[in-house]
Amino acid sequence: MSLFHPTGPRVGSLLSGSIRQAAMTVARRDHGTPSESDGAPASTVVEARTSGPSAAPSLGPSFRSSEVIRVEHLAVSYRRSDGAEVRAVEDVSFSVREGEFVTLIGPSGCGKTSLLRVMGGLLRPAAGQVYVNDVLVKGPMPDAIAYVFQDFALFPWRTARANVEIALQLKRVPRGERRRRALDALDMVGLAEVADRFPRELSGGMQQRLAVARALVSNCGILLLDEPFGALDEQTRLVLGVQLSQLLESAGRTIVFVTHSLQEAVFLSDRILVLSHQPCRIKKTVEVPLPRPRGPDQVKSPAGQRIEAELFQLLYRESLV
Amino acid sequence: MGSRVFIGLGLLCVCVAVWQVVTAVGGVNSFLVPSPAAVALVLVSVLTTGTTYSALGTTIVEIVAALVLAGGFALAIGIPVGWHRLTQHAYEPLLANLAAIPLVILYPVFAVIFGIGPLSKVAFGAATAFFPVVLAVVSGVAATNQSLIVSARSMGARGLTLLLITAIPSALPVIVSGLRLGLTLATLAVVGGEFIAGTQGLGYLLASAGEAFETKKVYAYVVLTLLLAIGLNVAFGLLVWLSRKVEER
Repeated sequence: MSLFHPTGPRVGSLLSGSIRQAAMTVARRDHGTPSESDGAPASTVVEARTSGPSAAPSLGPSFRSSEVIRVEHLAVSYRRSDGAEVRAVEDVSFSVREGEFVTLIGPSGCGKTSLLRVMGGLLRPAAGQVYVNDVLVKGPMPDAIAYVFQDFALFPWRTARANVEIALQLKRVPRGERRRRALDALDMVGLAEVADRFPRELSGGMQQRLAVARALVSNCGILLLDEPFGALDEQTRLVLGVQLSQLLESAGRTIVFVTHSLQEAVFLSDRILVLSHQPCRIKKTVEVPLPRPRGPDQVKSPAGQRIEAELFQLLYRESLV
Repeated sequence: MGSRVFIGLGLLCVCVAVWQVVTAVGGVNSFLVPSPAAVALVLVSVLTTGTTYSALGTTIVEIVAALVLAGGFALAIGIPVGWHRLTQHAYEPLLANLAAIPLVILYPVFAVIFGIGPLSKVAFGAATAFFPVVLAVVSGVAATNQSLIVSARSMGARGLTLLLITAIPSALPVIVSGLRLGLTLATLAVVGGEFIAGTQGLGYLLASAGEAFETKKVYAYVVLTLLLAIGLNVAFGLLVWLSRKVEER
């Protein structure tokens, strides 16, 4: 029994193809179709495909994604219990293209979670800005961004279905549609049979999938996941990682993922941003040009292991400082 | 669960048996401490008198009114205080300290303001029950899991909605146990008020019997008060259980 059902039609219906459609329209409008821009379609196709590591083949050769997230000179600080101000993030700038899977990885406590929170509008930065879909982020953007928390943040007094429904309830979606969409989302993550159970009655892996279902149901284009597998054992992490990767790929959303697992970072992402210790800056950007879709047989592939080794070197040196 | 009730009742029976034996042997003044058998007889005659029930009715209405009033104020004050860190730090110690005042010494003030009829009992009962309930509300609301609040915010909840979907359901168990405590205190306060200066109710009957030196009747009324307190607690538990059933449908 597969844990997820990454079947094309069902997921496609959830996404309703709207993001892909919009992206392709934008691409055609800005850059022109190959046959229009110059008389040599073949060379343009090749050019477009190698223009960026995240130009996913499934989205068409003329597609060039726009930047959905732009982080500019971001600095984040927090107040310690003794009143002192601590810088968690210092001068971080990067952007994320549509449909890209970017991972933030770094030593423990370096500020990855703070960075992600600011990107989600849950925290105010000390300096710098974040733009999502070219709009300045000043607070939560529930129509554009869905967030998955490390401790799942499930409401213990609500059933699994009610937990998923709450995302829609807050958008004033009528009851019948709410119920239907919630059950669809639960079905996508393979939790349809436990819709009426409470979170405490579910295993860690199931709770995690429930949190993901809640993030998916609102049809946001951007998902921010903060160490979503942090609380799980390694086997569950590996299995869920593969399933999640397939699910998220077919859902076609833009994803920023925080983890401290090198293997997860390499397996899931298109690009990895390695962060330094606190206050964190971007130490290095590592591209992961491994082919998509990524399946279970690629978990320990030689190419992936080489990238993992490179990451480990970077992080080990960072931890010695 | 059954065995627990059994053990409790068993202990009670042992105490009553000891009491019977002591009075039968003549160890105490039978006027001051009548035997359980004699008290039981008087209790039966009390229960078959109509006036007992109207007094009981008055007392019950006063208690329920006091609790509802206390609960209302406690929610109105406790929720805002508990929700904001600033107010919580400022007012919770104040409320906790005020709770320590033995309000019974202020009962004459209540009697002067509200008269010696049922109203003063309700006011006094409400004031007494207010403190444990408001402290429960404050601590329940303040203890809401921060992670849930941030999660709800990320989904677009703000202000009152945020409070209603995170803090209130989370604080409910604590608030209910606070109300249960409030019920106990309201019972004590109301019956006590009727006893000190009243015209109706169980406490008044107790006081009258005492003044007429009808000791057996006094004991009978004490047992009745005990049964009232137990009955109210059971009714409260039933109400909580029922509301949970309704919510789960």
